[in-house]
Amino acid sequence: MSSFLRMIAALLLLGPFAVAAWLAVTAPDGAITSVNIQKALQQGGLLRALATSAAVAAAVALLQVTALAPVAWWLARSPGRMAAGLRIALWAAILLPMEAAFVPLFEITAKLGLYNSLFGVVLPQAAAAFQVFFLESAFRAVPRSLLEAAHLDGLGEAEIFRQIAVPLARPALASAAVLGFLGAYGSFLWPLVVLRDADLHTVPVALAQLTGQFSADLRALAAGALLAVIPSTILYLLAQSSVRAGIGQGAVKG
Amino acid sequence: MERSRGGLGRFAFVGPTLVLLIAFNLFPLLYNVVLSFTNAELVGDGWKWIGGRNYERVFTDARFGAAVRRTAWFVFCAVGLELGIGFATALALQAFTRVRAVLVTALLIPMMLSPAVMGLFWNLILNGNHGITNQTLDALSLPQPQWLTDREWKLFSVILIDVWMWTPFLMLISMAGLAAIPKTLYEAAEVDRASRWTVFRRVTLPLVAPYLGLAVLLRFTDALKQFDLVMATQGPNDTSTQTLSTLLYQVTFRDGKVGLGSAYACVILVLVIALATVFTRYLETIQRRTA
Repeated sequence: MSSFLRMIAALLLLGPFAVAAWLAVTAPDGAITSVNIQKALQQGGLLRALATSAAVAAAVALLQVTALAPVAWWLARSPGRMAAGLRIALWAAILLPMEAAFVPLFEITAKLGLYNSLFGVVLPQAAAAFQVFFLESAFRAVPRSLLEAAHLDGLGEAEIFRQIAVPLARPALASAAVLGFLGAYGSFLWPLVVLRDADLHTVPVALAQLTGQFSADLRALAAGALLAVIPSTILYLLAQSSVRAGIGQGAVKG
Repeated sequence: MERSRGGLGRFAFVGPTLVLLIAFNLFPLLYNVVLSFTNAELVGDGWKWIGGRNYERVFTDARFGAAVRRTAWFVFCAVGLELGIGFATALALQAFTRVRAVLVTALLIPMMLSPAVMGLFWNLILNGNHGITNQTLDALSLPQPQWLTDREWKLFSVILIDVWMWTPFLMLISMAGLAAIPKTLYEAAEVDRASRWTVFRRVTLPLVAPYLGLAVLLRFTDALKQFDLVMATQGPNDTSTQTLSTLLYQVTFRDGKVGLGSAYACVILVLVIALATVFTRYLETIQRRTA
């Protein structure tokens, strides 16, 4: 009975992927073929998009954990009014529908000369407010006594951060990086708004173009969609323990 | 330990990041409020103050009322089903400890992938003529609804995809909550010969409630902003699936009315904050009760 239940669950959850895989490798008459995959790779420029997306997502994830960690540390340590103000602003930013921020974000990006550049895709995504809270909860878990000992030893706030807090919070930082990567890899609308040249397109954008191109060719589309999710699925499978820890922590500590 | 009062003080090394955060989070927020009182448009620069006229238009726009009702319905159905199915599966899986790890890994895959691409996957399945669903129904000589084009089915299809993506999240959090319940409580209940229903109602449910509440809060605020799935399957201007977020997108980017779009954004933001606050308060009372 339990194995039956498990099969149903797996089928329901993975069914769409199985359907896409079956469409991707078959011809309309049912014969096995690689034509669809070739079509998606060549006509859709999907190969380049895959590389672009991976680079963008890696940059976003790296920036998120390196640049946001100090602020998260400060929020975790300082109960002052400035910290409270920042916290409210960040919450509001999280709750604002993303599309609403696009006009202002676009203006900043354009002012910085980053329109139609991958840096323009990376920077606003790197400043993700939710990651600040995630990292803050990680830093709050660092034992007080250690920090006080370090303080007594005469270490400054920056040294305590670098030498004690960061090494201790490393698993959480890894979770944040993986989740940040997956989020940026999958983001669709912002890259679509910022990038003009087709050779800069990220995977979801390239795929959307493909949808227009191949609207009648469901099999090529299936091949494209499948190729698009392979890298993120592999990363997720490799890093799943830290992903799961991250989801648990985010949910339990808010 | 001494603490800096209010200012940055010893935390000066935070400065550069703070600038980044403010530029990309606080500024868009404030700029949106400013724009909502102007007649700014996407093309052409220069705008005038027009007072509260955008807000007047928001509240008299028939599309807005419809989008509010539709979004509420979407959130209610999607989050309700995700909670119900997720919690039920977590309970059912409690008995099986062995294979759970593999299953959990598989279940989380949809959540980790791009919603825009997930919408595409489901297009392949639900496509009226070539989709596998209707081919199967055809083979069984059953009626074949046009899942993605029939007015009656469109919203249902979007809800279905959302439920498919996010039920595992609710399940995972439920499992964490169930695992955190001390075994001794169940043993005590057994000694007292409490019925299974009583144990569920008096022990399991109240102790899992804070976990479920938090998970629902996260899903709730997210579902209120539902955009990607609707965009991927229907586009922003479809009259039977237009949510608040896609309406906002339509007004700002397709109609090019940035001022009006900003007013929509502010109204939506106030709505989301109000609902999230009420919900958080409610959650705190639950937590206090169990603590």
